[in-house]
Amino acid sequence: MKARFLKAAAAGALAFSMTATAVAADRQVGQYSPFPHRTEELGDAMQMVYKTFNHSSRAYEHQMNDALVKMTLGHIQFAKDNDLLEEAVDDEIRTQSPMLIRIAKMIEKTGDKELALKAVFEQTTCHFQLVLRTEMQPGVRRFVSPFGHVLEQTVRLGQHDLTEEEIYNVWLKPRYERYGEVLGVPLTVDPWDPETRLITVRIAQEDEVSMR
Amino acid sequence: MTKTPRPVFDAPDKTAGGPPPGVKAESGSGRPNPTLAMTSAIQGREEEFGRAVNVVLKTMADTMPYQHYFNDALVKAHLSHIQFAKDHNLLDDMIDKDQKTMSPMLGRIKGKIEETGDTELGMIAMFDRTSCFYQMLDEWDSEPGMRRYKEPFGYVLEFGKRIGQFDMTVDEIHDIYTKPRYHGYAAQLGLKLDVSDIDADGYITVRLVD
Repeated sequence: MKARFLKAAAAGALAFSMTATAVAADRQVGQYSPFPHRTEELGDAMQMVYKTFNHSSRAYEHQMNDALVKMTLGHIQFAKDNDLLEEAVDDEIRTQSPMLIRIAKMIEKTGDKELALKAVFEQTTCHFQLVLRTEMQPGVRRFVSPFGHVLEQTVRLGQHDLTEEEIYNVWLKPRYERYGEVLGVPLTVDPWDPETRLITVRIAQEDEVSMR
Repeated sequence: MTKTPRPVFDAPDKTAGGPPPGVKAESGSGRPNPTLAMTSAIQGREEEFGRAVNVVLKTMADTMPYQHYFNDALVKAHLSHIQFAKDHNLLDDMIDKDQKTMSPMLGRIKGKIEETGDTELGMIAMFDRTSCFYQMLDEWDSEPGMRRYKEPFGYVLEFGKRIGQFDMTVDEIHDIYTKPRYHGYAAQLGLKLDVSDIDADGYITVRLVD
């Protein structure tokens, strides 16, 4: 009898503790959404995704990152046409520096160089909205160049005169290397490979790490 | 990321291909044709769709250094582009370049407007069917000859200005970027627009002028 009472009391205390924790976190016990108060925004975002996927024809299939890719291509082309590619990279570094410097301080404090790659790739909306899939290994990130699908169409239409290799040389590679400088963690970018179109970025001192 | 949709085995009428020749996707009443299998825009692209949804969820979960919204990256790309043009005294050139970039699509629609006399096609082309527009906004009001939406730049702009990324205001962006672009698009379509200033609630109204 006493044992049963103690068991029930313990279960009650546990339930109370769980409820209290949940209430404290503004959650209810059970399944919950990470966005309980943003359902309309979530719905709008899903509509946008659906519209993008639905926006296809036999000639051209829209992908989720199309608008951002097109905007980025427009920016690079604009800089190229005005002979300002180096300035465009400088400007990008200046714009990103406040965030990068904050991470650089955390790297100095913790010694964790991996934070550099996390900052540039996983934690940057501008990256993960542009590149929907980035492969990760400690010290290495790699992804397929996101520009080819749109570029194929826009070059045909005369909107851009860029190639993916050119974008790699004038935009991607210098930016990642300069990000590394600001972060205090030298980053290297593997040479352009037209077959795989892979962009591979490594922490310089860990270049023995291979991405399988 | 594969560019080729996976083959669809379970539906005779693939989304990409549409219904077979002579078969309408909708019956006369507007209901789906019951003789066709149900399809969706996602069909054959499920993995890609999953990644896209994942991106949205990641963006919404991103609260550092501020709460991110799904259009953040695109808004920031626009802001960086405008700021770059401003810093190099190339604002007119930026608008010219944008007009040239859009001209293949606008020229095609102009032909359809001339063919049908339907000026609303111009509004649809500039707003509803342009991913660069509808990915930037969560919603907009739409009536024949009118579109109204909340200006999308202010939220990110404020955070960017605090850390010295930008030195513009939303009204400035409206004057140097939004207005001239819309007027230029309309001119290419053979139309004329009235583009309002940003009102007290932050909304922009664009109307077709007869």
